[in-house]
Amino acid sequence: MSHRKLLFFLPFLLCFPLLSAPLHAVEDGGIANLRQTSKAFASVAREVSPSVVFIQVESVQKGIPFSPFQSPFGDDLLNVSLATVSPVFPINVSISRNAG
Amino acid sequence: MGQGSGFVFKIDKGMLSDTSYILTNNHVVEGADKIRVTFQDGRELEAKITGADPKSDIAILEIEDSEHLALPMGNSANLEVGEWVVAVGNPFGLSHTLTVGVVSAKGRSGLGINDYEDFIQTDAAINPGNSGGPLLNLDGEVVGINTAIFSRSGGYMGVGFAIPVNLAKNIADQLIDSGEVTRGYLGIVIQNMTPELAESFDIDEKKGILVAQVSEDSPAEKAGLKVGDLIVRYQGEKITEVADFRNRVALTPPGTASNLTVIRNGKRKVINVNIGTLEDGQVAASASTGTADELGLTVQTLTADLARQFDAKAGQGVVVTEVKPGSVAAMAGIRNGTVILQVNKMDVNSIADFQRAVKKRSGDKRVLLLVSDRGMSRYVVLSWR
Repeated sequence: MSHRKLLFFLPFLLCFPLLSAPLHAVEDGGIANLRQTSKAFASVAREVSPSVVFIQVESVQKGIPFSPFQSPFGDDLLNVSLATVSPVFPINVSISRNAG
Repeated sequence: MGQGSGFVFKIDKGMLSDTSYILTNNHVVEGADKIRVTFQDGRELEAKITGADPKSDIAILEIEDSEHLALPMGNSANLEVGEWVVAVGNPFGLSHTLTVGVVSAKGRSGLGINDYEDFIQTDAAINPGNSGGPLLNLDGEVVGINTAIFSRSGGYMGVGFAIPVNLAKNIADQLIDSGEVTRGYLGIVIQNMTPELAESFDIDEKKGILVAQVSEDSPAEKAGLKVGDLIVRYQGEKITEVADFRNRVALTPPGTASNLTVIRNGKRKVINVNIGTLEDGQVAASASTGTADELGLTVQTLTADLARQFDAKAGQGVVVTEVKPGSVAAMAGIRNGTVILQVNKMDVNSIADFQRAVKKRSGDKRVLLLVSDRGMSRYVVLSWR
């Protein structure tokens, strides 16, 4: 590269780090924002989770001594298998209450 | 055996023991013989139902305990679409699962899940087992109760619905205080105003609630509300949606002196009304045949027998006995058994009345009908080429 060409590009080369600096700053700011958001979620989890409860409900089915849909191994096994296919509502229902 | 979620809503410190009230969905605990609640620290307690309201799908449980704080309540009216929200619950029995998303929409109604709907829609993952759990803002305040999902698979598809906390709180407080919910009652059947209806009524207002029926001896009738009135304000606040108006009236304590701003014959009018009490089963409120070929309808005068059959009054209206497939009437949802009470705001009590009224406006190729299906009235505009 001739000296004339080098002199022509020199100002641009010198300015490049200055131009790219704000981009880095934006990136750092973005990550910092995400960290803040993530902390906010974690804080909500920490504060509210102790007051949230898991509800388990039992109802006695009257008049059916044994049906092929009941688990002979107890409620827990039945519960797990049903829970994965949306227990209360049929699958083809488009809007359903999401009880377990 | 079923499972769901809930959260500590309120704590009552007693002389002998403390009581914590747990808020959840009615459908989680409905028909339960035994209810157990488990906290994050593993403590398991037996709970009993304090009160339940199937119409809003809210239930309150009580446990003898005061170990954990009640969650702070937010104001769901201040929620904005796009705002971050957090759902906490027990999807598929996986306890204390947290998912995040945004408020996708507000005021969703007409989903057919509850009698009173005003759902917050969210894309925070909600799955079977999340029911009754809180939807929270980033300040950790409850803004909704996770209740339903839209799904073709049975699981999360990005569309969940939560009952707004302002509605849930009102119901929950009543359940704790008295074990039951009392709702306000006006005694009208209403429908949303549409541009077509506005044109037929010759009014400029394109938004509001149109009164399609006023029940006899109801608070609305006593206050002088009339069929065809357009309600634009309730208690001074602008009204644009049927579901919103219905919820507001229901949440107004019976006996409250309320006011409605209506547009009647193009003039604005304020009507004062004393809100009544909604009783169970109460709703806000025909033999020769004749045809109207333009509409694709065959009608019959309402005899006493037909009136009984179609939940109508003998001599008031004509009953539809045949709807031509593909006709304008069929497309507007009119079916056999629909009772036509008015044509272009004129009462039609016989086939002759009906045919005359339709013929009179057939030049406009447009008629406004007041129809009633199983006792529920609505206006319908039929237009043809």
